[in-house]
Amino acid sequence: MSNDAQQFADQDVRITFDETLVGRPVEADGGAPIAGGQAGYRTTFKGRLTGRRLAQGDPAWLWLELGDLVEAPQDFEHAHVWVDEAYVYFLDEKRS
Amino acid sequence: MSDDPLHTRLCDEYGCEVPIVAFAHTKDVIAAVTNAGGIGVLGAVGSTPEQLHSDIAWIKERVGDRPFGVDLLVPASFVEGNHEDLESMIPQEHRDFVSRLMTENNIPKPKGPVRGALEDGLLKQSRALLEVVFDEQVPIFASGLGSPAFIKDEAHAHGTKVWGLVGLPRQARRQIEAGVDVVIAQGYDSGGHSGTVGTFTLVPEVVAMAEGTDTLVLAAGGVSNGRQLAASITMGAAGVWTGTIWLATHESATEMFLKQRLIEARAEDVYQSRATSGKPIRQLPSKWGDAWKQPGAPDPLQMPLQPMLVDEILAGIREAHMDDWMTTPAGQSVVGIHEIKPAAEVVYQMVEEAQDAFDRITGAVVGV
Repeated sequence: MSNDAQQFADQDVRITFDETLVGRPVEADGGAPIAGGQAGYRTTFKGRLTGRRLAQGDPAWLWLELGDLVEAPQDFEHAHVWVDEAYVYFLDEKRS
Repeated sequence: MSDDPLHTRLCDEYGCEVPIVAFAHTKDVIAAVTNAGGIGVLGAVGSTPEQLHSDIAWIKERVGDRPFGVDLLVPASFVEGNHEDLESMIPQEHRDFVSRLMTENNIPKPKGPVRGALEDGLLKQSRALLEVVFDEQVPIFASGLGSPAFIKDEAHAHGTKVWGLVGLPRQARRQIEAGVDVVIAQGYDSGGHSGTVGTFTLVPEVVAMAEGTDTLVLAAGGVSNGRQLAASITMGAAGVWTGTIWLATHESATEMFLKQRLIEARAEDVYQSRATSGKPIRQLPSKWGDAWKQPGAPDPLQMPLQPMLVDEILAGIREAHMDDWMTTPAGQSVVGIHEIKPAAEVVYQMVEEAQDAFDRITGAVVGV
């Protein structure tokens, strides 16, 4: 979490902190295009929100940071992952 | 409303003649399908903004006012980290395995540049391509991966409809709630990054979610003929989203040896492999995929380590045109490819088969 400046340089990114989100358990559907190819991948994460929010560009593209991962792809080497808010499912809310 | 079951709401709302959407990476296929009455959607991931501008202009010149679209793989997650940290995570066992493959199979080192890490600037890259789609007022933007909800209003302001591919019912629910114009329910049998739920299970569930809303549903995954088109419409879909079937058309830029292998492949031949990207991609079998399944081969690493490990050897394979080692994403609908033919002919045949299927159903009911 220490290299925001390097990671997001020139990406029109604002990072804020929302205390009300800290520790909330969620599942999230993730995925991204694969570098250099024409395919992408889908994956699922499960963990707790750190409280960090990221907004990129205008209109804002909203992301939440997920940590304490209890479900992630095999060999996933990272402690945190940013997930699109649109595909975040709160596990402490009743299913609709 | 038309009595023709093939004239669906997709035709009414988009001006296409038949409810067949073709996803392809070759602009010639897009123009051919659109001019044959369907809707072509260009897969543009990996394009630069300049290339995309140029491709859209080329398509517009050939299709006029007919509907077409651009598909981008908008991300749904990303990680922080720099390239040097990640390099150190690649185990020596994996490096040795790849070196052995190169030596034992005479795979040369590539002369050209090897691709870079995509996650650097991922969000900005996606935005830049979206700006091109809106600047060019492309009729349809399709998000092939993440949710397009964040960009829906801006797209509509430019006259662009917003479509989204989903692999799970909960993703469909989110997109429908967000007012996405078309949700494409992509079943397990599809090529590339397919979902985990079968098409026959996923489509009716998503159709039920969309009832009473303005969102249309397309069926995807395993669709290559008119019977499947008729089945999709019967399940409540407004049409079909197809990909694999176009790889072996005359207009497709897919190499001829791959087209031939597509013709020969059976549904069970295409498999999900993590050998290229670290993520399961359904694709044609190849020596590359097989090498990672041999006894003694290590398990492929995860994204982004696996592509960092294998980028060089794959570039060498491509440069040396080692056909047996090359592959293409393909779905189980590969079984519907029997010959190389013009894209328009594929459209016409699919329509004819679907009409026959509907006639059979009607005849059966009348005959009872």
